[in-house]
Parts: sequence; C-alpha cells; structure tokens
Amino acid sequence: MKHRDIRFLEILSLRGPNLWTYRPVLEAWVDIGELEDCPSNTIPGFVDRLCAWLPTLSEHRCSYGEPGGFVKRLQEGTWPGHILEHVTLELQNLAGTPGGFGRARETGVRGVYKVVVQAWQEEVTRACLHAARDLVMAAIEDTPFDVEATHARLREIAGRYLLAPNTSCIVNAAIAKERGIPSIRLSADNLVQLGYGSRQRRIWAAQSDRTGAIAQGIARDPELSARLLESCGLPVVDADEVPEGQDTRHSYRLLVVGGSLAAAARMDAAEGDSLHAVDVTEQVHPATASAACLAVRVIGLDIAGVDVLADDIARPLVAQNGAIAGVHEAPGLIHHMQTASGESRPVGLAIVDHLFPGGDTGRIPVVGITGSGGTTEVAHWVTEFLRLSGKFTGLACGDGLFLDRRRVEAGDCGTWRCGTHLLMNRAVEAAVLENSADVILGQGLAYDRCQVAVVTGIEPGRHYGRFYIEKPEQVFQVFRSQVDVVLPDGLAVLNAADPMVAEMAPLCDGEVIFFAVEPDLPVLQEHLANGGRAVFVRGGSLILASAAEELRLLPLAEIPFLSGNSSPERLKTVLAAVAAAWALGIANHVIRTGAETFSNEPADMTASDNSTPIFAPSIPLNA
Amino acid sequence: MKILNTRALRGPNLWGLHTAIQALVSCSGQEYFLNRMPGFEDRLRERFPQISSFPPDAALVSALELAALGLQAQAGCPVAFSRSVATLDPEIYQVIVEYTEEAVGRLAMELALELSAAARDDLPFDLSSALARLRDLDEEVRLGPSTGAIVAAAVVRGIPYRRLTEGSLVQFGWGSKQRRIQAAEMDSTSAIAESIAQDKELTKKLLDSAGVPVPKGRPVTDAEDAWAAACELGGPVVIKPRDGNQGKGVAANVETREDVLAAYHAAHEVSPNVMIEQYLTGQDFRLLVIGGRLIAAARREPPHVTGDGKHTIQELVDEVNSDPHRGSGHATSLTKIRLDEIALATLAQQDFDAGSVPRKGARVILRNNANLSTGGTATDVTDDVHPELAARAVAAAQMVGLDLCGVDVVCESVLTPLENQAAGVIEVNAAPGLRMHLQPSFGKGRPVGEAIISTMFDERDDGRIPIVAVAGTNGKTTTVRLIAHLLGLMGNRVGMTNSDGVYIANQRIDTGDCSGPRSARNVLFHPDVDAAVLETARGGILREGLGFDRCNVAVITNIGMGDHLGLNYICTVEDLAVVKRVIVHSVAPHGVAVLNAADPMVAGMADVCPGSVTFFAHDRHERVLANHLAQGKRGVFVDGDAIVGAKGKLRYRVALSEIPITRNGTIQFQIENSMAAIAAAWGLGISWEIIRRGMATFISDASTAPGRFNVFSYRGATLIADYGHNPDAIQALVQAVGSMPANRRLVVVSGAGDRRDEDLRQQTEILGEAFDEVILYQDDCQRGRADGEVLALLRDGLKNATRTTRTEEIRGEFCAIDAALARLNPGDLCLILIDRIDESLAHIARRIAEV
Repeated sequence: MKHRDIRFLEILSLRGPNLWTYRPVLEAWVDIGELEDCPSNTIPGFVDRLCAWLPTLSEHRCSYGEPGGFVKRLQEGTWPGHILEHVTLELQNLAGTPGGFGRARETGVRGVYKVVVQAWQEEVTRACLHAARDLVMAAIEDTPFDVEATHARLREIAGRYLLAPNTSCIVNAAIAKERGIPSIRLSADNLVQLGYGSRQRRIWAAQSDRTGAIAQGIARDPELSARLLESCGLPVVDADEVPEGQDTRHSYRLLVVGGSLAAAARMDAAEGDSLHAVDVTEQVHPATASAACLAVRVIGLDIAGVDVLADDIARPLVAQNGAIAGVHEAPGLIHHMQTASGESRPVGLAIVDHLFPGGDTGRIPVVGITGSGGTTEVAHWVTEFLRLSGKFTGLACGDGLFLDRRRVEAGDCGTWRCGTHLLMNRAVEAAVLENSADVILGQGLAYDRCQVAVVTGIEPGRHYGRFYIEKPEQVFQVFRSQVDVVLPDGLAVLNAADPMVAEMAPLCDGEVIFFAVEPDLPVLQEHLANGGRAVFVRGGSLILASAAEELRLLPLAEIPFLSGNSSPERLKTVLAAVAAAWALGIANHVIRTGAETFSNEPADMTASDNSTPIFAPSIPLNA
Repeated sequence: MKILNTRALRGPNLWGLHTAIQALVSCSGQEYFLNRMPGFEDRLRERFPQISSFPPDAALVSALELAALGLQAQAGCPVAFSRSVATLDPEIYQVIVEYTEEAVGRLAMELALELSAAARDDLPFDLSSALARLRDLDEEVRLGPSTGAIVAAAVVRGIPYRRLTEGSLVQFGWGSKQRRIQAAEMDSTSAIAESIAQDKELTKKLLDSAGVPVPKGRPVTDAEDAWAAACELGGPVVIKPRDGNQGKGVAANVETREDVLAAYHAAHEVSPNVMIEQYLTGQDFRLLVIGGRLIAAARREPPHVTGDGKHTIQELVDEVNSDPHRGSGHATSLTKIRLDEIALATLAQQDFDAGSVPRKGARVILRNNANLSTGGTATDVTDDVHPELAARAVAAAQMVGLDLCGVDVVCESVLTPLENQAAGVIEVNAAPGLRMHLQPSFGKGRPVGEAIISTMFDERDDGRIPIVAVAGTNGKTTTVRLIAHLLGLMGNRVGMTNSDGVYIANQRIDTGDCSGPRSARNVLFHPDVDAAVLETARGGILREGLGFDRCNVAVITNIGMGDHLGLNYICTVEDLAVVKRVIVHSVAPHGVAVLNAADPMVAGMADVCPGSVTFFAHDRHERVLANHLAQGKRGVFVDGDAIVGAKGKLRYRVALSEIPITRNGTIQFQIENSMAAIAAAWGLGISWEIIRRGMATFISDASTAPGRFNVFSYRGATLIADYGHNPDAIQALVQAVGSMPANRRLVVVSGAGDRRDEDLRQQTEILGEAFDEVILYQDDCQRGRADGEVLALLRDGLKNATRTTRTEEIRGEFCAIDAALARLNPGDLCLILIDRIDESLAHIARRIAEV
C-alpha cells in the first residue's frame, strides 16, 4: 500500500568530507511514496502557501543561478525531495546558519531520494530537516502550520548547540581558506581543537590552552592585579578616586593578543544600560598600547582585555590622568566584531595567528588509504615506514586502532570515529587512516584534507547494493572523495594499472605518484614524461622513478614480505606503501630498511600486545 | 624595658644574610645587667626552661633576645641567629632575632618581652599557650606543604623566590626569567585543561579517545534504559546525576534490577541527565604526573576503622586517634579522624551510628574521600607502578593538557597494566595535593618539589638575571647609569634604580628616591627586565635589608668622609662602611666586588666578599691595588691617557679622550666613576669592544642625568649644576671645575639641616679656597634646624677663606640662582649646588631660554 507523505528511511550524518562536499552534511533517504506523482505545480495553492510561510525562499537561486530561481522551479513543477532540501536550508538560514550546500538526487528506487543538506551543527540540522518535512507536508495538505513557533524553537536549538560568537569567530578565522587550519569540536561547550594531533592547540572562547590558570586567578583578583601593575609603574584606577558616574573619562576596551594590541573600542553609553562600541584601534597611542601589553604580561596572560579610562586614547596615559581599570582573561570579542560604525576588526584571525604563527596550519602528516581491497595491509606498511622515520604514529584501520605499537581497540576501526580519535590525540605525530567505500558513503572522512591519499584499486561490483550504489560512475565518485581532499602541497598515490584509479590523477590538487608492477604502462610512461614520479619493478628491483632518474631502491628478493610464493597482491601492497612513504618525504635509506625488515604479517608487526583491552571504548564521541 | 620600635629585615642586612626582626629596646636604671636583678635568671628559667644559657653578666636585653629566639625555635621554626648590640646611647640597645615568618618573629618578640616582664616581677607566664599561639600563627602564615616543598626545592637550586601574596602565589627567578607557581599549579598550567579536568565526563571522553582505560558507560534516558545499560555493562554499576556534586544522588556498586531502578530515580531527582557506568572494584591510587613523567604514586585509603565486635565506632576512632603520628594540621604524616556530620552521614549509609559495635573484622568507612587532611592514609607505591600503567597516566595528563596533575586510578594492583585488570582512570585532578607524596603515611617520600622545579627551570638555569648593586658616598648615580648603558648595549632590557627613580629600558616608571629595597623588588618583578643595576642606599639597608638575596657584581665607589652621619646610630665612617659592606657580603660565589682601592674603608671590604674582587684606583701604585695586581688579580687604573683593565699580563685600554664624561680626562670624579663602571662591566663578562663603545656613547646631561655635573652656557659664562651635598662631593666638584678655564668663579650653595655641624662647615671651607664669590641660600625645609642656623654654619666655614672675596645670603633656591646669574659676565664660571633637582634645572633652563 502506497503512502502519500514524506518518510525518512534513514538519516546519515556524514561528519567529514563525503561524496557530495567537503563539509559535514546530513544525508536523508526520503521516500515520498505517491507524492512522486504530485509535482509542486499540480498541488493547488501549494507554491503560494509555501512562499507565504517562507518569503525568503525567493532568494534561492537553485539551478537558474539567480534569485527567484527556486520559486520558478516550484511553479514549473518540482518534487518534494528537492523542496525539502530548500526548505531545510531556509530554516537553517533563519535559525542563524546562513548559506550552505544542498542536493536532492533520485535513487534507483521509485519515490526514494537522497536529500543532502549542509550540517553546520548536526542537532540543529536534524531539527530543521524534521521541521521542513512537517512544513512541506502542511503546505501540501493545506493544513495550518505555526511558522513563528517553529522559527523560535529552531533558534533556541541553534542557540543551545552552535558555538558561541567568541569561539566561532576564532574557529571561522582558522578554517577559512587563508589559514586552512582544521578544527574539531571537543565538547558541547565551546571547547574546540584547532590543528591535528601533536600540533593541535585548543581554545575555549577567547582562552587558549596557553592561558595560564594562575594568570587567570590573578586577573580575577582586582586588588592583586592592581598591586602588581602598580609595581611595574603602570597607572591604575584608584577605586575611590572619582565617584562612579562622575568620571568624565571615556572607557576603552583594548584587546591584547600574543603581546600586541589587536583591537581597541571606545565604549559609549547608549540608550538604557547598553553600550555602544566605537572602533578606535588605529588611534591608540603607541605608549598606551605598550602600557596595555605590559599590563597583560605582568598578569601573565596570552590573550586579554584591558579596560582603560582616559580622556583620549590617542594620547599617552600619564599625560592625561589615564589609568588601567582592569585586565580580563577570556575577553569578549563581540565589541570588536560589531562596532557601532559597522567596522569589524579581524580579532579571530589575530588569535589564530597568535596560536599558529608563521602560517603554520597545525597539521600533522595524515595519510588516507582507500580502495576496494588490500587497504589494511598498505595502511600497516605506511604506518611502519612513518614509525621508522621517528614519528609517533596512529593507525585506524580494518583490524584495529593503534597508537604507536599498541592496539587500543580491536575490530574494524577504519571509521570516522577512530580516525577522529587519532587526530584528537596529542601524542600522535602522524596518522594513517584506512577508509572503505562504506565509510566515505556512510560517515564521511575524519579529516578535512590530507597530506597523502592512496587508492589501491577499484572493483565496482564489490560496492553495489548498499547506499543505492549501482553504477561504476557512482563508485568512482565515492573513491575520488579521497583524492579530492589532498592538500595542494600533498600527494596522491594512485594505481596506474587500474584505469579507474589512474583516471583520478587530474582531480588531485597536489602531485601524483603512480605505482604499478609494469613500468611500460602508457599512462605511467606519459606521467613520467610529464615530469611525474612513479614506483614500479624493473629487472627484479623496486624502482623509484622520476623524469630525471630511476633509483633502484632494492631487489624484490631482499624483501622478506615477498619471499616464497607470495601473491601479486603483496607486491602491489609494497609498491603502494613505498610510494606513499616516498610521498611523505621519508628518506630512501629508511624506506629500504623498512622494506628489508618488516615481518611477514603486518598486523603482527604493529600489534605488540595482542590482548584486547577489557574496556573497549564505548562513550560516543558526540555524547 | 621597652621596645621602641621593631623592623623586619627582609633581605641581607647589617647582621647577616638571614631575615630578622630588629628591635630598638630601651632599658632604664637597674635593668641593664642581669646580675643586678637577683633571682631573675631563675625566675626566667622556671617560666621558659628551654631558653639558652647566657653569661651571668649579660645584659637584660640578651634575655629578651634569647627568649624571642628560643620561643620561635620551640614553636618549630628553624631559627638560630640572634644578637644584642649596644648603641652610643647607654640606655638603648638593638636586639636582632632571626625569623622564618615575619609575623611569627614579631609575635615572638612581644611574647619575649612579656616573659621578661613576668620573670622580673615574678608574675605567671603561660608558656604552652604562648607556644601554641606561635605554632598556630606559623601554620597560618607559612607556605602550605605543597608550595613549601616546591620553594624548598628552588632554594636548593639557588633559584630566588618571593611570595607575591599572603597565599601560595610565589615568584621564582627575576625579571624576564621569572616563573610563578601557586600551590601545585605552574604558570604554564593551562586554564582550559583545568576546566576539562573539572568536567569528569569530558575528561573520560578524551581519555577514552586516547586509548586510556576508563569505566565504560553512557547516559541513560529513563529507568528501563538504565537497566538495559546495566545489563550491557554486566556486573556492578554506578548510577549518578551527570552534573551533580559532592556525591549527591550517586549510587555505587548497584547490581539488581530493583536497585538499578531505585538508583535511577534517586539520581534523576538531582539532575535530569543520568549517567550509568561500570563500578570498578579495586583500590584507589593517585598517580602524580609532572611534565610528562610519572613522579610519584600512592595508594589511598579513606579514614576507616576495623570492627572488633566489642567497641563502638566512637571508641574505635578514639583508639586510632591516640596514635601520636596523627596530628590536627598539616605538620604530621597522619591527621586525626573526625567523627563529624559528614562521618556520621557516611556511617548512616552503612546503617551505623557512632554507638554501633561493628562485628570483628568489619571495615567501617568514615568518609568517602581519602584526603590526608580528613584522616585518610596514603602509602607510597611509586616503585611498584608498571611502565605501561605509568604510560597511561602520562597519556591521560597529556590528553587533558595538564603539565602537573594527579591521575586517580581504580585498580586491584599497579603492578600490572590497567588493560589486564578491570581497571580504569576515573579522574584527573588539577592542582593536586602533594603531601601524600611528600610525607606519605607509609613508605618513602618523593622529591616532588624538585620535579616541579626541574620542569620549570632547565638544569643550568637558576632564574636569575644579572644584578649589579652600587653603593658609596658619591658617584653612585652616574656609575649606575654607566653600567646600565653598557648592559643595554649588549641587548639587555635594563632595570635601573637610583635616587631619581626607577627606569625600565630607559623609561622612567617611578620617581623620587628609589634606591631602597621596594624599588629593587619592583625591578626584579618587572617582566621586561633582563638585567638590573640597583643603587643601594644605606637607608633601605638599615630599614629593611636588601631587596635581593645575591648580586653578581657589587660596586662600592667610595666612603670618603661619609654622608648622613649621625642618623640611625650610624655615627662614624666605620659604621657607614659596615652598612655599605652588606652588598659586598651579598656577592655570589662566582660574582665580583668592585672596590675603590684608594679608599681604605672600601678596600677593607674585600675580606667579606664571597666572590672575587676587582680593585680600581687612579694610581696603579696604590698599595692595595698593586698587591692585588701582583697576585694576578683584576685591577683597573689610569695609565697615561687611558683607563686600563689589567689582569696578569693582560691589558685592556680605554682612552680617556674616548670617554666624553671625563672631558678628556680633566674631571677626576668622572674618571673614578668610569673606572668603577668599567670594572663592573668586566666582572659581568661584557666584552671590551662593547665597554669601549659604551663609554664613548654615554651622555650625561640634564635630561639623562639630572643634577650630575650638568654643564650649560649662559651669556658666554659656564654654568655647572650639581646635586653634590657632602664634603667629598664638593671636593670632587672643586677639582673638576678647577680644570675648566674661567675669569671669575662663583658658587651657589646651601646646606641640609640633617647633616652634622662639622660637615656643613667643611663644605664652605672647601669652597672658600676655590671660588671668588659665594652665594649662600636657605630653603624652607630646614630638616629640624632653627631658621638661619644652617646659614650661620656655612658662613662660619668661610671665615678663613683664602679666595672668596664676596659672600651673599639669599632665601630661596630660585632667587639665589637668579642672583648669581645676574652677576655673571662672559668667561665667568658658576657652580650651582642645587637641592630640588628637577625644579631648579627647569628654572635654569627657563633663564637660558630667556636670553
């Protein structure tokens, strides 16, 4: 019996780069049943009702690329899945997360669609998706719908789950293209990790992980602060100097980040009790700026707000009875982001530059390994090369989660969750993550970008029947996600003997290293001729080849892993792993030593302790 | 006997390097000597038997002194030094008694006076209550055991420290090299990490992601879900509100369906968010991780008694508390168990009360926490910890982000990895108590303070910045400025104190006479100071001692005829030398004292210097200098047209023509100052290239060195303004201006009322030999003298003047300057001895501008 409504068969949370986009999304599998026969133009009054409830839908461009495009599509006739996508995005917009990616795609099953919407924050998007379904159904069925109450509820949810403005201003500055620093939210509060593994820094509003607890305590003790500032010759506001309300001096808030002045605002009294910030950063006298910075050093903070009373911030404090009224830890940034004149100081960027000086992106080498098979062994091999090069390496793959030599968790750990655990771990100096097609399809990648991506080979048939995947092009789309996220200075390691994999080379933002047993493959030869690099076998030896030279790394006979009647798969594993190690910049002699010494069973060589921990991790990351 | 005043000498002082209370005590009539007060000593000993012995002819103040020392010692303070010193006034003594805590020292002095009075008048004295007061005060004001252990470790490393508050905030090291601690927190301890540690669930989530075993668990939605979760986990569970505190609504060791449901409802009453997690069985361990290393581990037990089937819990507690190792504060390794409200509530949970008689062998817990301060015990197990287990504790600290923390582990044994037992980390604590590792109830104490200090300071770093202390009668300020200039050229941000103010990297941050210990401490606290040059005046040394424990270089420019004699019982130049010598005594073992070989008072200080000595003198044949050089030691002198640094066969020359302040070698006192500064710079290891460059670029004018031989030109005449105000300084100025050509010579001079008569008279005696005209002036401030008294003394000094032909007396400094200026013709020279430096220089500048 067919139904006539919108049903969610499944809602996948793709928490990292995925088939659709680099950003986290929710992918809803939607069954619209008989509504498949009811495009929007056939439901009387539907478009008007929808546009009346959500007038801002008129801004959506959709496929026409201009405002009003989506309304035009509604009028011409489009299906509920597509409408659901736009309505969800619009509800997110109204809840405070504007813009974002959306898609609606048919599956091979009649009436079933994949509706994809960008998830700034999973809970908020989930709530918007459900509200959108109810709203669209009400418009279809011409039943009442309380739009205002829905907005209010969604705004409340957004307020509860989204990062607070102080934190999001820093995070947004970090992840913006100019800095390209990855972020992981660590708690429901505003605790956010910037960067990965051992290179990470943490923030919590305008506090960094180097904001000292002692300094914080001093800042919170006004008497002690004043005494310490005074002993360093700084003018300090005397509490009983001027009766409150009769002080004619202006009140200023100076933001000091990493030892220099990042912003300054004059706080003018506006109507009621509210204050009204005027940006005066450019006017601050250098002596006044250096007094504020000294005050922050005396207290011992790395990021602080300094309250200053002065007639004019453009003059030195001593010349005008100016004084410091307090030094605050975790200062508010909002005054500098939303000034009365509408100017906005890049305070988030100032904090990011302080945490990651000199253009540092806070990244550790991340290797993503994907393909239809052989990926676990390649992952172990690459891990061993990294370990041999001296790095504390984490590995999340099909047979466990490993920290250095220790297996922390058994079972299939080539997952978003385990990968994220590695990237959160402050000990990890390099991470190797195996990603199956199912992980890319069902969870998303754990990292935003990677240093090296390895694609071992693709057998499309192995992936049919799940996630509505049924064509080779779709399988290609899945695996290319891995290559898409290679950093511009990163590399893709691709199997030249697999035409579908070799075809991904142009998709990579960075360099490509091909590997294959046969050196004479045309695609490989062409790559070398164009200045590319490749790893292959010639004369019984493993060769590292570039246009300029062919380096004989070692004879295959000296690789114990390949001794006896080893399978061709094993040789492929060694080639891929050696190519990845080369891509990581590991020295040739280290690669050679590794190839000569790695034991037969990669899983054994990594796991020094085969005991399964009694306490398998169980607390979900986003609990 | 009366105490007129007491002072705390907080740094190295006249009497030694220890902190001490100095009391000024007056005794009248028959009180001086004990042997004139029959029976006093017996009565004293009756009241305070532990007092040290003293000779029968001792002064009464000695009894006071020894009582103040003895009372502190009996109260547990490690003090040993005391002294009584007679003054010129036969009725007044100075009594000096070491202290470890200022407040305790002061109280001990008061109590000692009470004791003496009681012994004299045969009145009762309650010794035990006096000692209890001292002990309690000491415990209240001294550093707690955690902070104390860290400070002690710093002291062993030679790292200086200073308490910034009455609490546990302590500064280690100085200036830009300083670090801070507050109890068991370092300045590098992250506030965010502390917030994470406070959130137990977040902590567990992070530890779990890092592969550190934690109790399994999850939030539950309702009672049925709680039961489902308990079944998933298997075995006993803990059910608790997610954001509860103090154990409210927590049920531990719950197993049956009925109990789980009941526990869920109890937890739900405290918070809507209920957590369920595995109940770990085993013992409580605390692992202390510092700087990424496991430093100590202890097994902790809450206060408990074991039933014997006969005695009540109250009786069992009393029995345990009768152990003499159990004290009531932090001083002992165990603390008494309190049977208070919390204990009774804990008993109630076990269906007991204080009168219950538990069966034999039953373990009765009296509190659900194992803190030593509430009667718990700690047993050191550091050496037992399995390396894999230690690695998990370190990983936990790293994941939370704490550089100093206590990791709480529940496990059966620390001898095997956590993974091999039903065990886990249950909590990470910021600012952990250290006492359980310093003084465990059982087992070895661990060097925790040392571990913290070595995390903050590299092996060879003692947190010190170079300090140069400068004292002397004349030339201090210029010498200080010269040394600061040389240190600045090396790229240091120099903190400088002198009698004009405090300067940080050439910026004046304080004004007035800043040559005392408070200004010195401020400089050493300033975060931007890489090196300090501190003028160290006698006043501060007498009042409070030095503001630092040690210096790298001490410079004594001269003592000469002295200055300010007669103040503070410093009556002779010998007394003065003893005061100034304090900085020489504070020289570090590898440091240098720079001493004026031509001044016998100064040269004699070489004996007390713990480091080496560099002598300077104009004449290399000066006996002390010549002997010193002959032994291959360092000396600085003038050889022809250069200042020479000599050691053995080495010679470093700085041409006088390249030292502008000496005016081509014509101004003797600037040559002296230059030699002192060069010797100090040499002692600091500054290269001769920089020394030469620095001497050549040092400028001394009214803006950089106000009141220090500031030379002006006025209508073709030469004006010299100087703050010189003692016979030595005036002698030096006469020498200096004598080398400058002039038609007529005028001088404007006044005198400070607090100087001795002979010193005032002597000033004009010297001037009368060198100046044609003298203008005497008197200012409002007569420092205790009658109107006209100073002028009369100055006039008196001119009685036998050989050169002076005209004398004029004027009221007011500015009027005197104006009168002198009015008399000047081109080619004349006028020396103006200014008193109010900044104002008079400004006045002179105004007059020059008017021309």
